[in-house]
Amino acid sequence: MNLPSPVTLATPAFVLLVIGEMLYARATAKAHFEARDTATSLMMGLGSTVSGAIFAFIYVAYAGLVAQYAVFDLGYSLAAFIACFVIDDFYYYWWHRISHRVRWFWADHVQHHSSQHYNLSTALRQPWTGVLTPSLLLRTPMFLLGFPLPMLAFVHGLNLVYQFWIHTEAIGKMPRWFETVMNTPSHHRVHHATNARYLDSNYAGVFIVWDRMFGTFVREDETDPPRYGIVKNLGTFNPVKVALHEWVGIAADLIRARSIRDAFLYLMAPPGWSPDGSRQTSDSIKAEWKRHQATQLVAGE
Amino acid sequence: MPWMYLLGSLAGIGLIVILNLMLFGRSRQVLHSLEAARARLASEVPGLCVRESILSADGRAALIRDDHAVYLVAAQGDGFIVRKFAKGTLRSLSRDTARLNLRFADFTLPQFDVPLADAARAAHWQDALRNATA
Repeated sequence: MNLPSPVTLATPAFVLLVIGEMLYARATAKAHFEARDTATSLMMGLGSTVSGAIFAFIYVAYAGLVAQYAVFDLGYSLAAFIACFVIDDFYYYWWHRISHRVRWFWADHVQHHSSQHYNLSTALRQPWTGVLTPSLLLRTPMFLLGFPLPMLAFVHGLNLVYQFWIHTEAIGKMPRWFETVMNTPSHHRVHHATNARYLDSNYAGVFIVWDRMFGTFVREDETDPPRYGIVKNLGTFNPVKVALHEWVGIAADLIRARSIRDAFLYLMAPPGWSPDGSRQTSDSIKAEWKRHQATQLVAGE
Repeated sequence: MPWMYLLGSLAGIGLIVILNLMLFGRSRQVLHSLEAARARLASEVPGLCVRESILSADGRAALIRDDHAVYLVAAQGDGFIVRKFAKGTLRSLSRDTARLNLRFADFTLPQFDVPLADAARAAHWQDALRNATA
């Protein structure tokens, strides 16, 4: 069955919505844009499309190879589509969580988080270097389950299209039932924030229920507005440097590593890990913040 | 066909960026006061207790020292970036009268100059940075 690419079909709408949000931002100041940041985000989006097209053959070859050993033949029924969409979103949650907790994966995913702005153009700031990570291997169970490969590509595209609209400050909160079940702008603002209380939370793609189930859900707190970006924000708008900066950092650390264990952990430990603990991980930042909060509480009593 | 797609996308990106410039101008962030610089840093460093600080002559950066470290708060687009000085942070540090020339071991921020009000203060902060990165 030939299925269309949801992302390709939605691209004209993405462009119009980015322009619409800019006009809305100009009129209300409820969203923020900076020309160089927008240019970087859009160039990252284009570069991601190009790198995806160049390396698509690897995905197709691997998926085709594994699919030969599929346990079931699930076909194209409506139930199969729905199951595939939900399971793909479950996979997305875990892939996303790993991408924040393992530096090898983070080196790719950090590119999406590198903007200090949070608007619809940020949704298009997509990484170029997925082929350098083992992300594809994580999808092996999906291929083995027996969903048709075009269906897997289609529902994954739908997932990405859904995630476009949640990259905005223009929308406050959605109705309560929707906030309970679905990923929303409020939940995803938390995910993109560098405030200590928000680090490593809300990994959901479409359904926020995964975060609620696995203990990573954090609600947006109006008294602590999100500050966007990464813990050590980038000193450049150059998209090539944005795409490569963490890889360069990993290479430098691997060269410096004094043992195989250190080299392994530079790659597989959480971002910010170092043998002597001189750098900060999200865990150490959160711990320091909690200590400070406790001190303030005691001082206030 | 792929080339047409690529060229069309580049043209579209160009138009959106031009629209962005027309609507919001070219933002150039400035630190209006030391308080603003300290507040920016305090949002990233819990329990910051400032010992001394200085604003650059062009208002584009500030150097701040607390009990544990020295920090640079620098304008980047319409926002700011923060760098903590520690061993290995700098490749080199030099001074040209009142201007500090910082060369970072940082792929995205290889160099940054901090013009200060006078040579004496620049020399003082040069020493502070040298100690922090020793």
